[in-house]
Amino acid sequence: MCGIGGVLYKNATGKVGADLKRLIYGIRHRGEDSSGVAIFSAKEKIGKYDVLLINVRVENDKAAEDVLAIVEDLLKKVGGEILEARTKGTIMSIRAFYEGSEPDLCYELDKCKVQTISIGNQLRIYKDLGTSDQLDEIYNYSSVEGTHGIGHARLATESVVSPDRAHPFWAYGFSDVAIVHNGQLTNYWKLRRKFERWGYQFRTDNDSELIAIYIAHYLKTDMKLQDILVQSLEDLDGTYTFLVSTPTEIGFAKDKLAAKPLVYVDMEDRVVLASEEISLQALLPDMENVTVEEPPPYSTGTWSITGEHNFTKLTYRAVRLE
Amino acid sequence: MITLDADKVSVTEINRALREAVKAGEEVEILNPRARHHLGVGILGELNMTIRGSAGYFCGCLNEGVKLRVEGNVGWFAADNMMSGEFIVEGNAGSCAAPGMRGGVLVVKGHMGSRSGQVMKGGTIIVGGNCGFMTGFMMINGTIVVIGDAGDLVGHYMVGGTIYVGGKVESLGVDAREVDYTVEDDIYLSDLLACYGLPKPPAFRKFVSGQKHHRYGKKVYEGE
Repeated sequence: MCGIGGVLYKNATGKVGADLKRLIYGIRHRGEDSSGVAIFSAKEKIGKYDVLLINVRVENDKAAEDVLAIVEDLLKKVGGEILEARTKGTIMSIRAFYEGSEPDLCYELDKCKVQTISIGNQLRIYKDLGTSDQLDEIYNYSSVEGTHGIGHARLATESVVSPDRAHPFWAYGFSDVAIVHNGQLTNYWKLRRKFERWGYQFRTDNDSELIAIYIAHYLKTDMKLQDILVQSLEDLDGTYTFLVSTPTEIGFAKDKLAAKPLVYVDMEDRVVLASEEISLQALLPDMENVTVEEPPPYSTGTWSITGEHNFTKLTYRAVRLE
Repeated sequence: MITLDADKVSVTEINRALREAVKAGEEVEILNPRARHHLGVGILGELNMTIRGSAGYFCGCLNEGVKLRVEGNVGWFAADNMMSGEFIVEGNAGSCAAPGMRGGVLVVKGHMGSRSGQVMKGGTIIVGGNCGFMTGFMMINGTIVVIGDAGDLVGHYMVGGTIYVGGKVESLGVDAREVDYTVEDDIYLSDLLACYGLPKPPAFRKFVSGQKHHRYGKKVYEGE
């Protein structure tokens, strides 16, 4: 059991960090091992360059100096540079110029034993042990504004409790793709071996990381997110409801038995998704006039930051359940 | 009338107060439920209670003889193992409503999620709107009435009992069989739905178990 949540503002920027904090605090009873948020903000430009946001794990102040030196060194080799680095808790947030390949940078950092939490022009992930409010005391992510984001409260089932196995999972090597997952994948190893043959690297032994890489792989082939989600219902085996976030969209997929819950409210200014209504009510105390929807099993949906909504319901005959 | 404010007292204290109210024979209302879980659970005895707003998971479970009205929605597993009484939901209900229900009536005036009435052994579920998939999954006895449309796999592996659907049926589950909707059925449903002020469609489709996969000895499960 885990709790998931997401918020997306339509054609606007909002208090995504603060929203996620309340949303995830509202479902903390579904798992208090660890929690995390992925917040997407508008691209920051300096001159003609997009600023790259890198969040890496540092165990202590001493390690922070070493990590900073490693990152600085790596970036220098390829003509990049660090603009700013700040450490809060065990996460160092770096703003940098870098024009090269992001997977290469990640794999290089990995060789130097630097654990990357997120990379992107818009994505910041904060995740650690504890509940969402405890996390905010350290990382103050509730002050981060953005267009959309997703969050998670974890009760560990598939791998041990540790900060790097907390969700959201970033698609290792790809910029700006994050997922949160409630459930289990039963064909994790089979799929992982397939993706490893295709050259992808995995950072953890957590099944949810696979979903992030799966989505990112197909996004790279120019498939639409909605189509990828529909395809994932066939490819991913197990019980799951997951949320995925790209720079422009939030999507969900619910497996064919839908043992894992999801509800949402689609309002004029924003869409809010969560495992349970109690979580929505924690964020939106005055819910008299909004309809809470529960998507059916075996369905997927996406909302874009421009307000478009896609929904697909698959039929059971396709899986020969009858 | 006893008023309990869920913003001020814990759910455990509310449920304790409900048991006291049964003894005192008092009516209870619960304010500010905010979709909290486990409201009105494990109450044995006659009690009239109203939840003014939405309740969360496991609302009105393990109850015997309670008349419960929820003015908003309920989450998953409402009326789990309900023994008797009446449970009315003015809004929608989440998935897995009334699993293992033994008796009484659950009325959901809005829509209902998936897998309602799973392994129910008696009692009645009425849905004013549509219901999700696997309605009456492995149900053993009892009645489910859906006024609107039903999702996929209606009566999947049902063992006994009856499912009536007023609207469209997406697909039938394994071992569910359609039988004739009789005049007796119509009279029964007219009376039943009139009790709760729900509109009756002109006709229903009626589904029972095909008895091919699972069946129990008739002696054990005939009637309550």
